[in-house]
Amino acid sequence: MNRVELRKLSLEFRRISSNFLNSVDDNADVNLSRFLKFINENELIKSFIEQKISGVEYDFKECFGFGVNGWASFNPPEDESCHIKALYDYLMFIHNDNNVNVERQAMRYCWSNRKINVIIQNFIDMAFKPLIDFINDQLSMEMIVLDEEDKTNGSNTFIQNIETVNGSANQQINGTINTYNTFENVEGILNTIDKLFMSLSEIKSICSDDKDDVKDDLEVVQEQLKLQSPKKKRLSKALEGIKRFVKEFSMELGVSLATTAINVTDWNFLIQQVEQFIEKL
Amino acid sequence: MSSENLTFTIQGDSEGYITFECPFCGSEFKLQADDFQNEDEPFDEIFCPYCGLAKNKNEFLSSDVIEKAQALAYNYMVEEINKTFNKMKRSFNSSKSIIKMEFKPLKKVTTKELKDKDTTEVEFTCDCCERRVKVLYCVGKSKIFCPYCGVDL
Repeated sequence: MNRVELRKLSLEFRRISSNFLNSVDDNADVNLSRFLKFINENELIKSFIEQKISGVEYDFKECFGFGVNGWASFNPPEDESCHIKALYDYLMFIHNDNNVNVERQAMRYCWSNRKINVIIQNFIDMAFKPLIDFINDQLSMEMIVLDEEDKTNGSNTFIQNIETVNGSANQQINGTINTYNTFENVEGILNTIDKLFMSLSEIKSICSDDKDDVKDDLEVVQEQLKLQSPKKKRLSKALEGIKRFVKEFSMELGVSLATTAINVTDWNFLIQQVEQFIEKL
Repeated sequence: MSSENLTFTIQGDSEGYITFECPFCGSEFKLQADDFQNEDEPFDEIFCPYCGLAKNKNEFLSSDVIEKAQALAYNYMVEEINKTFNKMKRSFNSSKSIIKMEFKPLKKVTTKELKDKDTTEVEFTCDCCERRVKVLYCVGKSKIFCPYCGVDL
């Protein structure tokens, strides 16, 4: 399983677990069945549980002590494997027995709260949260292992960021060298925006509303570039506006060459620079 | 029965982050007030960045916030009761009345201003939704989940 699949599985498992933990009277049985089905049908999760409980001899009724008077008490075992086995077996017991449901099981324990939904949630938390935590931790550990493997496998890859190359960049080392030309010239972009701002007021053939719209977009770009962590979405949205403006008024911007030192090339240069900046975020 | 809305503000830390508390594992984390209150991208649930489990966002309010809300509600109740009893006292104690009434007004509880301090948590940005969270760095990136979309960071 690769990291993406593991991330998806982790999210899916946490969603189903959360639904189960947030169950109320109406959906507790369905959520329990869905949770059990999910952990039984997923090979990786099933293997976590099987590895943990294989060879463990423990009766779940020792953990969830069923008294003769109908009341039950919770006595978790010291050994974690026994605890996990008890939780899994109890889950199967509630699911497989036709006369058993979550609400009935929850009502066998003593609770300080009288609300049925709170009792059900407290019961699920007490009885099955350790199993959810165990699976969650195992999934996280798998991710840590994958990350480490990626680091080891990718240790021969070097990424070199070069802003300006005068002559040729040459470096001898074992492994693969990936060279990217980066444009971290935020100052340059900001200067271009300042020039474009000044040139806009000189262009008479474009109506003021359209000029105001593009000014707003330029301001957003300016503002985001000055931030420590610029927002990709805001930059992309502003860039779309600028692109639209350049496409629509390319003729007018070309004519403005005569009056200002700015032309369409400057606009295209800005678009290109901002696009590259966004790609790196 | 009428309902009354009481509002109060929470001052974030120097970067505008507010503290929240997970109802499952009890751990604290910080979210950007801008992201949390963004009406363009509404959300109902939050995932705990530490345990990854989700619940309604109101369940993640910190104990300080709940305490303050309860204190404000209590003070409102006290104010209303005192007002009603004062009115009753005035009508009872008119010159024509033969029954006199006295009452001791209930006292309000003091409420403190909620202000988040700068702490040691580190800011992480989700690659998926681009929203930010502040968590303890020692947890390690492999173990942090995005509070908004739930993916691991």
